[in-house]
Amino acid sequence: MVDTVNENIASDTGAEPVAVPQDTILEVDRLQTYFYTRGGIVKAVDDVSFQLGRGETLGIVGESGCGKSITALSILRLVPSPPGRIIGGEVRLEGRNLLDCDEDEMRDIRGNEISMIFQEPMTSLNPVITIGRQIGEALILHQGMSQNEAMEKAIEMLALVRIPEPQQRVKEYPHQLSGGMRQRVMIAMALSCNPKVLIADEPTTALDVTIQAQILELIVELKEKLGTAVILITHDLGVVAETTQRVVVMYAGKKVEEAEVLDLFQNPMHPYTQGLLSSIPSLGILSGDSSQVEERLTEIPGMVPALNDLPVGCAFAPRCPYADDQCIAAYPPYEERSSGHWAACWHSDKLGGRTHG
Amino acid sequence: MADVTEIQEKPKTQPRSNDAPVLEVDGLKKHFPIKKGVISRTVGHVYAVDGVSFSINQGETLGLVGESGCGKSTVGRTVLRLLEPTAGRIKLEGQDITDLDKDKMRPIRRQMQIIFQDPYSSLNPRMPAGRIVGEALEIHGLATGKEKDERVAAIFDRVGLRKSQMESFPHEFSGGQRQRIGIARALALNPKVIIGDEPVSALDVSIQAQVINLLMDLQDEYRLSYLFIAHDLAVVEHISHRIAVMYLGRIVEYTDKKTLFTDPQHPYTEALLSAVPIPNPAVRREKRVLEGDVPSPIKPPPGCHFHTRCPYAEERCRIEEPELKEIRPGHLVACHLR
Repeated sequence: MVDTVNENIASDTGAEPVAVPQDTILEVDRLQTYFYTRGGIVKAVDDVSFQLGRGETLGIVGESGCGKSITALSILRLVPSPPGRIIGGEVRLEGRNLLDCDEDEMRDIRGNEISMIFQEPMTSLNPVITIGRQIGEALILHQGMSQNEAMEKAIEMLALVRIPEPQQRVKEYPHQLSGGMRQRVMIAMALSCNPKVLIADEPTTALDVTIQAQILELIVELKEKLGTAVILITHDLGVVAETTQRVVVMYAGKKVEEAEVLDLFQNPMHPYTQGLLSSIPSLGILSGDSSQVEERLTEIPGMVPALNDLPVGCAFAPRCPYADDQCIAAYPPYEERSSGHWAACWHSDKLGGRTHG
Repeated sequence: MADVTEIQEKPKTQPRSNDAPVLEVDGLKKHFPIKKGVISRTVGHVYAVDGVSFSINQGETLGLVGESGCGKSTVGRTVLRLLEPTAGRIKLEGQDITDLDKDKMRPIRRQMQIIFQDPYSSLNPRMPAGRIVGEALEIHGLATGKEKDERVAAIFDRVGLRKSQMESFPHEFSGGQRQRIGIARALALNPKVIIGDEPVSALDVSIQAQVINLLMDLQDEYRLSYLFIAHDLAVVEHISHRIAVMYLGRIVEYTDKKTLFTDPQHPYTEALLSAVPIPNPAVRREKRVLEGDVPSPIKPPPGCHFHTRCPYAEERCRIEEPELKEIRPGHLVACHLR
């Protein structure tokens, strides 16, 4: 147990390696996932591209309905169809386009090369099957293990995610575990086949803060141990700041900004990112000063537009303090504003400097 | 952690007003019986709230924080007498309301209102928003007909909804707007105390800021007292004057906001603060990650409830229940080691 709270500013030298992915494992290229509903076409994911480097942690942030979960489901081709359909783009895992794979090939990939953990562990576990068998299922399917081997491996995985008494626990049912334990089981299951990519969709949102800290610590630790690349989808900017190296910000189905985590927080280039950062109440313990806390929070006025009725121009324009005629007339190009920092905004140059204390 | 000597100004235990507190809760307990079998024998209890005391002054916000299952929502509901307390006293403006019957409670309910967490399930889907807000005015005989409509319209305006939306049904509103309806409903009776049970937890960050600002503006305007129940420490820090931290049915630390965040004294508060992810990647903190889970409130551990997860626990902590005592003026901590 460490007793001191070490706070030091990560400088260029002290920080983790600069996360330009030299060795890309997963590429999402101009992905478009639309939902064809009675209310019209919902452009849930529209022209989203990003790359994930080997062993990297990439954060995808945005508010509900921004398309971040659908992006993840599209990678694994799990979008419910109908009404959803991936209508364009490519998802390349080590160069191979997953969108061209047939269902059998996809089944080989899911849980084996790319696995996913979800927000609510209780609904993603089968309540009538022991957790040992649930972990073993993928091992038998993908790795051709026998029942006994799979059970051995399941015990090993439970120990890896630090569940006490794994020999006992392996025979238990999901309802016998606490929320934090269930999420550990989900992680054990996801990592059992040693996947190349782990997609974690709001893995700690349903958990309490002290349990959240345990789970995030576990994900980071295992990522380093096993060399898995992680896509962390979350709405919590605190989680992003503490666990990811690079961040993609999404708004209304589009990627609006992408940068390294420090760069993004210190120098947001999109007004939406800037608004998000300044609308979260910041803890005074950061600076040991809660005097600034009395201030009003900066609001982003209005709300997210409906995805079936998006404006022609920038989707954020109706809520944006910088918006002008140009923003309303045309969607801004997605451009590199500084090295490794991309944003889709006509007015990125006006934003300069950070707003967030 | 900040130095103790840093606190020069006296913590304001009685902020803003010298008169008696608006709401006083003393030794509140709520135990839910667990029944089993055909004759519903009571086989045990859930010790949801186990001896909680606090007070709130006019215009003040008391933040009540803790993890799920710690009893914070039960405190809110018991204070409103939506649940009958097992023991303890509740006083509103000096009047003991613990044993009042239904009829006598009715005028009291006007003074205390609640805003719920889930703006989807707490609004009747078949009622237009205007009627949801105006219903209470009618029930309490405060206004009917045109007068009622005018008052509702004024409240709508105040919470940032359009008058034309009075005819709309809840599903036509977004999450943030629904929470505004919830706030409007609470505000309609002109209450003294509003209990917010995780009122912004279900909202997106950009919308959350709008609702927090609205709540703070309304407090200034009407001198409202809030009991703000939440698990998000950053939100609680922003809105509260004083904060009580709960763990397994008991308050473990209770002080003004600044002291709590700069100089937490209970090991649980310390761990809770350290666990919150800070939205600033330039800050690297050494985390103190707590081991294990919160024990079940059906069988709380003996002695200090926190001893099973406490890194500093000693023999005494396992046997003897620590009392919530004042270690400095206005700073109450329940820990043997302080």
